[in-house]
Amino acid sequence: MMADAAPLLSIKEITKKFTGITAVDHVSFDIGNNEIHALIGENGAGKSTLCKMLTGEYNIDEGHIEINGEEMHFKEPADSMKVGISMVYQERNLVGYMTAAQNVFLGSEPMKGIVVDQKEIQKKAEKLQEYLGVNIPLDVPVEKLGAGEQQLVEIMRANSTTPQILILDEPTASLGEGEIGPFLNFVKKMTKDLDLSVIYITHKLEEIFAIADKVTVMADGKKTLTANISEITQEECVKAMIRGDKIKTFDIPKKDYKELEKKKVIEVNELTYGGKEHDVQFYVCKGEAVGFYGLVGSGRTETMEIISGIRPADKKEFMFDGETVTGGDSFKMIQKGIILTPELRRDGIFPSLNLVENVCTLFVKKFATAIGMIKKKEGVDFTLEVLKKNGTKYTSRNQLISELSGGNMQKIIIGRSIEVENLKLITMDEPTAGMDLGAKSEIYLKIRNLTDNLEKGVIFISSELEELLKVCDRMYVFYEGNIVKELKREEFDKEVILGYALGGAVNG
Amino acid sequence: MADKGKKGAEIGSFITKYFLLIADAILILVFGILRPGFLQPINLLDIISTASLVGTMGMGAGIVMMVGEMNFGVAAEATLTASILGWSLGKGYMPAYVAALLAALVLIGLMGVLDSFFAVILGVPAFIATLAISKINDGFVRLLTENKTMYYSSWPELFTFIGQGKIAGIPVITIVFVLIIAALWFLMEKTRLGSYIEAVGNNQSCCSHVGINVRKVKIIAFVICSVVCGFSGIMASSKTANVMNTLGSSLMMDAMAAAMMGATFLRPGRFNIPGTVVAALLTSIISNGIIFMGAPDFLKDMISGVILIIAVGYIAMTRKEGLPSVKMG
Repeated sequence: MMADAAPLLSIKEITKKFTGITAVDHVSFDIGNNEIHALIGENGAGKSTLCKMLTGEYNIDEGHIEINGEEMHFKEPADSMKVGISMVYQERNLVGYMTAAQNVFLGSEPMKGIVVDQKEIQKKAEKLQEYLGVNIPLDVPVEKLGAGEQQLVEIMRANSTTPQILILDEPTASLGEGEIGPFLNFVKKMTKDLDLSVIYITHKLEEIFAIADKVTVMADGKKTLTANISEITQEECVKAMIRGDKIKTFDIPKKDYKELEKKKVIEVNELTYGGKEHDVQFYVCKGEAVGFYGLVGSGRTETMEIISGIRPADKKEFMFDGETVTGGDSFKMIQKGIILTPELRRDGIFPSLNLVENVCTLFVKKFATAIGMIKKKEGVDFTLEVLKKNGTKYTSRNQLISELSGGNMQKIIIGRSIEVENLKLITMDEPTAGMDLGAKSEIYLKIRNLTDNLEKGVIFISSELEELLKVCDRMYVFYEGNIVKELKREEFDKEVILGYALGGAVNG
Repeated sequence: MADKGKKGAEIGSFITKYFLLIADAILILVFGILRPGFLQPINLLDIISTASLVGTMGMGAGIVMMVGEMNFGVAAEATLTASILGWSLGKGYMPAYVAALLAALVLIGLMGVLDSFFAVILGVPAFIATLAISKINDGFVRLLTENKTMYYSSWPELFTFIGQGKIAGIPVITIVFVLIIAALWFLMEKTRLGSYIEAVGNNQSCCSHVGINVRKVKIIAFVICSVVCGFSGIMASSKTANVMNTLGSSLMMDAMAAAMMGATFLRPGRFNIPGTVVAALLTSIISNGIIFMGAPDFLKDMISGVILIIAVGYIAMTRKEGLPSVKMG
């Protein structure tokens, strides 16, 4: 009787410890036949580590897993593949110049003697494509394919061993807004058609409610919830994800836009770059947080990098603080009071320098004598103050910045940027990327503090619409390099904004 | 309008792909018109003979570049191999030429294992590890050659067969070169190992995820590199019938350049065997032509340098990711 009732995959009290921390702490749950089981949690909650134990990439320190009631011990991913577990990793794992077919069979090429049988590869790939019901070009280098198609190539590879359980690790992270819907439908259909079970890792709640049958929530390495999707609400999921009260709340004061408009910090009409004129009419006032929303590549970053003097432009002209600006590199712009914190955190830090050096590099002049000698003591004091003001967690001011977590790095980058003398406008490009909800809320609080208490102008660039809706006073929507819509806070409407971001003015 | 643009792009990519071959042809023509003697079969064969040294070493060095590493010790490895062969034959430690040749190649293959031990297993950046090991090898070369040009009258006639011999009027060195090209081309284009070598250089993490043993592939690449480069040393010493301390170093820069320039040929952005060969021919045509013209020798270096910087500069402009191991980090 037990054997019949045994679930397809049963995870029993598994634990994984890395030096000092417990990444996965006695987690148990079951995966049934032909079910999509969502696994959610913040970054660092232990989802990926858990799945890497399921595939055998990591050893299980305590506990074990059972497949159809039988205890399994994997030494390497090849072992788990044999019993039917396959995983598609979060990062793309493709060889760029190879075709989709070659990528699918990389590592398991059919051979003809000592020669790789290219014809057979193509044939097998076509068969697999038919089996999965996908249709992508198989004979062009995968680097020429879009993110969505590349994703499908990896799913084809994962399915080439005909698994019973397919693990998808944040599969939509690299997809554009328009690709997510069709992708979810594909996963749903594939699960049904192939009689698969899918473990779907994500931190996007909407996706779970769109496709999952069951959900397991993890927080700080522990399982906090497993439930049928029909018996649970989004709020309950969020509660299970954050455990405790790490999230800080804030109020956004109502703005008198007429009054505000008298205090414009910056006003831009158009910029010419990449040989094209771009219509980017926007302004930012003192004490205002303005959101820039758009798909990746819609020109948000480009626009602000040009304004901040980081990216060269064919022609630029804009009003800043009452004067017309037409040129100037980032150094000049910072002196004027415009600064940008970069989208990629690694562009904002010196990984092999310590905290003091990382903070003070922006203020070389301030902490140097007339002949250019560095005043060390002042720099250290200043750094400690910046670290304290921004609630940075660190062990020593002499430690390398690269030893800090992403959130703490971001706090230093933003913290030192807002110390710039006569700062008037700060642009934060994806400041919360890869952070957990607690750390995100601290950034939001920081932005509101800058606008509401310090009267600075803030431009908040993000791909997460939710956070812009939460934090900003006004918002501009970018589409193909141009600004296509401006919305005040009371006009904020998710559907409208998405409509503009996806296709110009379709829904307008 | 769109058609025109597309056509322009097609022509552009055609020129990029065959730039080296076109340059080869144009230079041969130019030199041939200016100095008709340049086109004599004997001179053309001489060009190929010279190219075979640079080309062989370039293909060897290129295989390590393909896996995304760098071997700066190829010069020392070439000289050391020639020295071991010359020394063991000269002192009479080895009875037969072929045995001595194989022994020298096995030893240098082990040097490839040593290179990869530091570069791949320990994780010392490859160009530093191989540079350090090449200093040691330089020392051994001086030990074996007693710090002068090595020549033994006791060397068998076979010693110069590869470099100076002819079969049906065709220099043996050319035949050997063609055989090496064919073997390495087959390895890279047709076999599983070859495709893994290139895949590892392109996306290492992908390879480990699909169960390819990345370290093993890299170690094999280092060994192939050392053996091929070592053999280029034997070819060179056989050609001059002696072993000079500068044997390898006189080839290395041209060889490295040929491998890098070769990556502009046929499949821009990827190191490849035919490209290395065509690039080696180019270097050889330039130096031969300059000598034929009676022009000063320094021009040869300048012209080669200009062509190299144009070629790699073009790749840097057109391909974001550049060449795999030119980013030497």
